[in-house]
Amino acid sequence: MDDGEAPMRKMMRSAAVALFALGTAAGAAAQGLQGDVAAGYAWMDEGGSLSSFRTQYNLGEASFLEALTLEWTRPSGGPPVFSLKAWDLGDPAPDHHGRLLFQPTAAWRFEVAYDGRNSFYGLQDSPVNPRADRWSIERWRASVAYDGWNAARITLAFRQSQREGDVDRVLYGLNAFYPMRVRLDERFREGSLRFETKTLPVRLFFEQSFGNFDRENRWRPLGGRDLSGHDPDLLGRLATTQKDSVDLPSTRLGAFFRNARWDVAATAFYSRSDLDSAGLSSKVFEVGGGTIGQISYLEDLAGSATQDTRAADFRAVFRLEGGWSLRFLGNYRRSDADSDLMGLLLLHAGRPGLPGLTLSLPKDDRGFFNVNDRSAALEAAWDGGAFHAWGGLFAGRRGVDYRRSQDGAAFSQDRNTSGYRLGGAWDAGDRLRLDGEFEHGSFERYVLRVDPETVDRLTLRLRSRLGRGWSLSLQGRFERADNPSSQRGLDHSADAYGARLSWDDPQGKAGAHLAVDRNRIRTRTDLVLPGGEASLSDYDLRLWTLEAGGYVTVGRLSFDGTLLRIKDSGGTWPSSGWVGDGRATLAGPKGTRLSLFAQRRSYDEVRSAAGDFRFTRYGAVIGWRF
Amino acid sequence: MKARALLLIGGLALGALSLLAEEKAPSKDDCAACHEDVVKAFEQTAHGAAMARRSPEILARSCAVCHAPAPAHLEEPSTANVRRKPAEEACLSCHQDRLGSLALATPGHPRSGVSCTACHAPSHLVPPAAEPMLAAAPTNLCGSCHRAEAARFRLPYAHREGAGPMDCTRCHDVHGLSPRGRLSQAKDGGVCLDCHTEKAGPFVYPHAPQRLDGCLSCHTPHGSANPRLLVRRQVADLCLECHSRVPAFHNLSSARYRDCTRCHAEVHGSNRSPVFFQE
Repeated sequence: MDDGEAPMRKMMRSAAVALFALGTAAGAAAQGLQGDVAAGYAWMDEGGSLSSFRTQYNLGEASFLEALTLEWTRPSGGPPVFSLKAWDLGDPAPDHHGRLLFQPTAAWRFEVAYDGRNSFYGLQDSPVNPRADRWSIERWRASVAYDGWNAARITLAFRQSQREGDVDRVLYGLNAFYPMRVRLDERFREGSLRFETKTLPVRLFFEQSFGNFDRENRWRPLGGRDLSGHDPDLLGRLATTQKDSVDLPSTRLGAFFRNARWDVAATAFYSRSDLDSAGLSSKVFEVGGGTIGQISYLEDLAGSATQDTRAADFRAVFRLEGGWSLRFLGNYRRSDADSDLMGLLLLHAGRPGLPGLTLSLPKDDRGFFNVNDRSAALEAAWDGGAFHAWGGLFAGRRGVDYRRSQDGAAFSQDRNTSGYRLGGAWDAGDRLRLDGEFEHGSFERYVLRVDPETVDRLTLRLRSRLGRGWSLSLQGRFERADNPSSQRGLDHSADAYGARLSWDDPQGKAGAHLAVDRNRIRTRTDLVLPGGEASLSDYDLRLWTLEAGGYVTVGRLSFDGTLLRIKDSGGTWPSSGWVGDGRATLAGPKGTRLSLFAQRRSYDEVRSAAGDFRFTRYGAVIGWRF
Repeated sequence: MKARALLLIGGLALGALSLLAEEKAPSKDDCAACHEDVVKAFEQTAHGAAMARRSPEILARSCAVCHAPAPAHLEEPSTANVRRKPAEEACLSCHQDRLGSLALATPGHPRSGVSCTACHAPSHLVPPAAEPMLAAAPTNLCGSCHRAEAARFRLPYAHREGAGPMDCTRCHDVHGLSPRGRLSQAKDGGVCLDCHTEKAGPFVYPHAPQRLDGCLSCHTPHGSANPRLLVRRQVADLCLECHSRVPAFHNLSSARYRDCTRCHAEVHGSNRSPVFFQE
C-alpha cells in the first residue's frame, strides 16, 4: 500500500541531494551568491499505534534536507536576481516545498512554487471497515509578471494539482461488503491572465482563467472474499472505464478607489463549469464461489452537469466629520446548476456455459440546483482617538430551488435573515487595547434542518503591553445558536477563552511565554433514528491547552522549545496528550552550525487504548550559511 | 533704486527659500542625526532594500513618510510629535495593489482596528520572524487574536505541515487578490478546493450542504476529534441530524451501519448515484 508514496520519495531524495550539491558547489564558487543549506537525520522511538501516529502526523525516520536557500545578487547590488528556496525535502516530513524566483530585470518576474503532501489514513475502526488512504498530492504554480509599464502590470499564471495513490474502500453487493482498492488518477490544470492598472484614480484588475479537471480512477477487488470471510459469494471482477472531465473558465473584475473621503471596493466574478462523465462500470459476483452461478452488473452511463455562478462583493466607506464614518457592504451570489444522466443498466444472471437471464433498465434522469444569496450591511463607526464605537444592521436572503432527480420531490425555500452588531474599543496606545463586540442574528424558515433560528455572539479582547517587554492578552468568545424543537431542537453553545503572558527581550535574544486556553463546544440536536424512534446527537468538547515556551541565545548557543499539554474532557471523545519540541543550535566557524532537536508526541484516548501512542523523534542537522 | 530692488528680490528669495525649507520633509539623514543605528539597520532590511531599488529618493524620505514627524519633532524630539507605528495611508502610498482589497477579504479586520502594522510590524533592529516582514510566523501571528482557532489545531486531527499546524495563509488570503480569493468568491467549498480539487464539482447529483455552505457544513478544518475533520466524532450523528427519513433497515446497533460513508462513499457529490454510493 505504500506504492503511492514511493515515486514521490525517490524524487524528493534525488532533488534533495541535487540541491544540496548545487548549493554547496555554487556557494563556494560564485561571487554574489548567498545561501543557506541544512541537512540532517531524524530517528524515531516508537511506542503504541504507528497507524494512529501516522494518521495524525505522518512523520518518519530518515535523512532529510531541512532547508536550502540560494540567492544571487548582482555585484553592483540591488534585489536578488535569482532565488531558490526549498524546505522539508526528504522522507520524514509529509510535506515538501520549493520556491524559485528569477528577476532578470526590474520589469520581469518569474516564479515557480511546488508543494507536495503525502496523505496517510490507517485507522482500523473495526475489522469490517478496512478503510485506508495512501496518496500524494503535488501542486505546482508558475507565473510570469511584466511590470515594465507605468500604467499597468500583466501576469500570466499556470497551476497544476495532481493526486495519485490508492484508497481502500468497501463495496456493497449481494448483501455483503467486499474490500476494493481505488487507484487515484486526478489532475487539475489552470491557466490565467491578469491585468492590473497602477496609475488610474480607480485601480482596476481583470483576470481570466481557464481550468480543467480530469479524473480516471480505477477499481479492483482485493481478494474477492467478503469482509466477514464467511460469505460463499465472491467478488470476481470489478472494473470501470469512467472518466470525468470538468472545464472551468472564470472571469473576475475588480475596482478600488480611495481618497480622504471615500474608500470603495468592488469585485465581480463569473464562472461556467461543465462536467462530462462517461464510461462503463462492471461488477461480477461468483455466487457460491461460482458453483451456483454468476451475477453481473453493468452500467453504461453518460452524465453531464453545468453550473453558472455569478458573484459580486461591494464595500463603500464614507468618512464624515468628527471621526464618524458610514460603511456599506453588499454581497451577491447566484449559482444555477442543471444535470442529467442517461444510459443503460444491465443485470445478467446465469450459470457458466448456459444462457442466462438479462434484465435491462434505461436510465434517464434530470435535476437542477439553484441557489441565490444576497446580503447587505450598513454600519456607522466613530473614531474618537482613544475610544472607538461601531454598530449596524445586516440582512440577507437565501433562495434555494432544487430537484435532485426526476422522480424526486422539488424543494423550494426562501430564507431571510436580519440582525445587528454593536462594538466598542478603548485604545490607550501600545499600553492597552480593550475591545468588545456583540452580534445577534435571527433567521426565518429553514433550508437544512439544522439551520439555526437565532445566533448570538459576544467577543471580548484585552491586549496590553505591560512594559519592559512584557505583554498580556485576554480573550473570550461566546456563541449561542438554537432552533425550535418543531424543527430540529438544535441547541448549540461554543465558548472559548484564554490568556497569554509573554516576555521578549527588545534585542530579540530571549523570550518566554505562557498560555492557557479553554474551548467548550456543546451541540445537542434531536434525531429521528431509522426505526422512527427519537434520539439525541450530543457533541461535547471540553478542550484545555496549556503551553509554555521560550527561546534564548547565549554567545554561540541558542535554544528554543515549547511544551504543550492538551486535554479534552468532553463527553464525546475524551483524550489527552503532550506535544513537546526543543532545539539547540551551536554556531560554528565560517557560517556553520550544528542543531540537535527532539520532538515528543503522545496521545491517549480514554475509551480505547487502540489508538494511543508515545513517539519521540530526535535528530541532528548540520547547516552552513555562505 | 537698483540696490533697493535687489534687496527686495533677495529678501523675497530668502523668504521663499525659508518657507520651502520649512515645508520640506526631513530626510533619513536628518533622522540619522539622532537615530543612526535605526536608520542604518533599516537600510539593511528587505523593506529598505526594496525602497532603494525603486528609487533612492523613496528611501531618503521613508522615515518621514512612515513616521510623519511633526516639524516640532526636529526641535524637541518626543514620542508625542511623531507617529511610532505607520498609519495605513503610509503603507498604501506605495503598496497601492493592496488598496481596498483587504477590506473585502477580511471585513472584520478594519472594523476591529487591525491595520497593516498589526501584522507587518517588525522592529528595524530585530529581523522579521517571517516573510513578508511579519512580526511572527503566520500561525503564531493569527493565533494571537484568533485563539480559539489556534487551540483547535491542537485537537488530534488537524491540517498540519510537518510537526506543526499549517500556516494560516495557505488557506486564508488576507489581502484577497490571489486565486484563493477567486475560489473563496466562487463558494461551494471555496478555498478548500485549491487542494481538494476533486470535490469541486459540478456533480450530476450534488450534496445540498456543499452547494449551500460549502465544506464547512460538515467539516471543521482547524481541528477535530474525527479523523476526517468532521464537526461530529461519529459520522452517523452528523448525517442523521439532517436525514430524518432513513429507511428502517439501517440498524444502528450493527457496526456495518454506523459509518454511513461505508456505502454512501461519494458524499461530496456523485456522477452516478443519487444516494452517493461508491462510484
